[in-house]
Amino acid sequence: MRVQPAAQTGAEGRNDAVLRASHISVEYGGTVPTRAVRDVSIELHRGEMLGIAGESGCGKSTLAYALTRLLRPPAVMTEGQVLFCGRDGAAPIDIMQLEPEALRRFRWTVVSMVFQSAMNSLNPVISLRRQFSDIFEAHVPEMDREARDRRSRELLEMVGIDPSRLGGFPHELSGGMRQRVGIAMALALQPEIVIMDEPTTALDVVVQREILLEIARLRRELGFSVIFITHDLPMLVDLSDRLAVMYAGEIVERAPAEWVGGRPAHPYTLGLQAACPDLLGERRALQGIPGSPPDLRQRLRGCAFAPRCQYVFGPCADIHPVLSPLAPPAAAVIESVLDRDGGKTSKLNDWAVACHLHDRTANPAGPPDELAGDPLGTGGLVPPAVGAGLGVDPTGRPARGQDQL
Amino acid sequence: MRYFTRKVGFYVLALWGAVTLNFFLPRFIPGNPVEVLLARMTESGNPPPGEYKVLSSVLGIGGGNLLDQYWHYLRQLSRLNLGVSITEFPTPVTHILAQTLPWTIVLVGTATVIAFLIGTTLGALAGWRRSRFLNNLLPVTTFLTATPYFWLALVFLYIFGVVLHYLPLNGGYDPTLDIGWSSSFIVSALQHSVLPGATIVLAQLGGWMLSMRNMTLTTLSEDYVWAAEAKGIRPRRVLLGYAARNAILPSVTGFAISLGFVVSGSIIMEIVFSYPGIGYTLLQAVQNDDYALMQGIFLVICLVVLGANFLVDMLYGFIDPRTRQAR
Ligand SMILES: Nc1ncnc2c1ncn2[C@@H]1O[C@H](COP(=O)(O)OP(=O)(O)O)[C@@H](O)[C@H]1O
Ligand code: SF4
Ligand SMILES: [Mg+2]
Repeated sequence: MRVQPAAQTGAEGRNDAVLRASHISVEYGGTVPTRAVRDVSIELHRGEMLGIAGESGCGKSTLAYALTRLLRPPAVMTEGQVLFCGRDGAAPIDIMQLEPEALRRFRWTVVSMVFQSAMNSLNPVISLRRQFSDIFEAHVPEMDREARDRRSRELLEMVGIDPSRLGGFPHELSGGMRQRVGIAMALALQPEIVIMDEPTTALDVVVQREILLEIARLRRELGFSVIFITHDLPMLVDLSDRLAVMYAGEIVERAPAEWVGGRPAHPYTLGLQAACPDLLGERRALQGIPGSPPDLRQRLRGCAFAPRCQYVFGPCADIHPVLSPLAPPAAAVIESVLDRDGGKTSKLNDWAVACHLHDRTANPAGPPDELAGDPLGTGGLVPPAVGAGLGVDPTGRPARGQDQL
Repeated sequence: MRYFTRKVGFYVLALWGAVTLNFFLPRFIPGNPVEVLLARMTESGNPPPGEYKVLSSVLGIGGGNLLDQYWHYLRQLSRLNLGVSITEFPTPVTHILAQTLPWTIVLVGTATVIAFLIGTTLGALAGWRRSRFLNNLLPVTTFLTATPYFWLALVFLYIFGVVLHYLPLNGGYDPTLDIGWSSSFIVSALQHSVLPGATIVLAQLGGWMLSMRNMTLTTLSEDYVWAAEAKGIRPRRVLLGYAARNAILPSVTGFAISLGFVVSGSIIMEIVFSYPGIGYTLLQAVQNDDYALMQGIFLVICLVVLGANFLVDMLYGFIDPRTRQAR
């Protein structure tokens, strides 16, 4: 059995990507195709939890399933490449080029999933034993009946379910238990990546919390990477290492989670934060973003968020903002702060936003305080020590150029 | 386990209901059926002594009060004494049933099972692979199913029997042979069963195929099938263990119903092919006002319907564990 190293984060993680997706576009066919994912590039680092947030209908699930070639008709991936980089410096696997049998073997051994509705993703009429066995029979044919049974019990125990449930059926379990079974199945073959598509959305808050703690514990013990999808941004901030916010099929902001938790840079992220109750902390006032996401069948001109954005100004209606690294001086502030913070500077490249407010040519005044980006959560006030560095970049680093994936 | 005891209880009750209904039915026959029967019997010979009493009890209209009559009826029934037939006077009704029932059950039962198996398999494949061949076959089989059965049977009889002389025109076996387990008799019985059997299969196939194809298509869009594919489970296993496995559930209920109709549904076939089964016998019984025989056949039909449903209910408890829990 493979042994997974503990999760790695930070500087070395920067170049250690397990999954690298570039320029993914997905359409749902129809008389007018729905462009559900629009030229998204994203990278999952080894051992990290990458959160994807956004209102429902923004293309989160579609993106996740595109990454694993699990799109169902009428969805078609019109463009994009997904590379899986195994350990030991093996050549990256181009997932889109895998032949059917190779793809079948790749699935679940390398990337597994936890689905939103465990009730619907488990077969209601065959026993859990059979459903676990099917996984082992498909991928580890040398396991005999007894070994499969033993491993299944072990997995159930690992997620806190009485192994005697193995002979039972999904309808005999509560919602939380079913989701635990779903997690146990996802971990059956010790995959490197687990994609979780709203795994707790259908559960009540108490069970939701239990499941999240369980996931965190398993991740500490087994060290797999996670793509975690939810519409609940505060939950992601608490849970994940980095997060990406999706709107209208695009990533509009991407940053290390705790920074966005402090102060996001995109108006949509700010709105999302206000719209959700904080799962672990105190409840915030629920003030949703007025309006709803656009119809993705349309051609979107300018910024897709413009009709709902309270900061909308000149270029927003016509010019499409592209995801680019957060502009100075905020970036300079961050860099200086982080240099003092002990070499976390490399994370900097990860804060990117698609909003004209951060474009110095379009908006020379710079973003308003609440969107300035604030890695330390200081409430928009630049700490004195850092303030001294403003204007003159203390690190002497040149402004960064192209956004990296 | 509670599921099974509950089911058994239900069927015992249903059986009692059927038997009791059968007791009341002859009361709707105008006049005194016992007199009619005895009059007809005397035409063909001497009825056995005590036949009046037997007939009255079996038909549930003897002397005494209703409860007495009911009691006598049950007593005769438990001795399998259903009276004598006037169609084949003086053969006991039980005897006729024992002779004709196997022909029907073996032929129509086998044909029904074959139609179900082939239709369901083709339907599952048509839904799974969306194969062009199978989906082009679908309108043909559906047409055969939609065609009135007697017409289909007559066309087949005409082509293969009358024009081509490939197969015998009617009957269940060559009447010159002795009935028994001799090879020549079995070959003859098989030859006689080809046309009726094939027409039944063709007439039923399309229904199974269509419903299974549609259910497979529906099931394929279920999350658990898609999840099974995400798990890298082999396509064959996904089809057998997830897609077809679940798609077949509604068909199983339909199969129970058609098994129940093996006896009653075979009447037209047996008339067209003059097949020596129970449907043909029922026709003769009706033509001859043979109430005792009719009564016996109705009882058998009830029993078969109940029995088939019981069987499938038990089976269903195994193949769909959710039903075991349902109140
Ligand atoms: N089967 C489908 N057919 C057509 N459009 C779809 C289908 N599934 C999703 N979509 C569209 O794709 C967009 C993204 O959907 P989805 O990826 O499910 O979003 P999310 O997971 O963020 O809620 C939505 O606008 C939705 O209308
Ligand atoms: S680009 Fe304009 S409309 Fe879009 S989020 Fe930024 S300010 Fe709002
Ligand atoms: Mg979704």
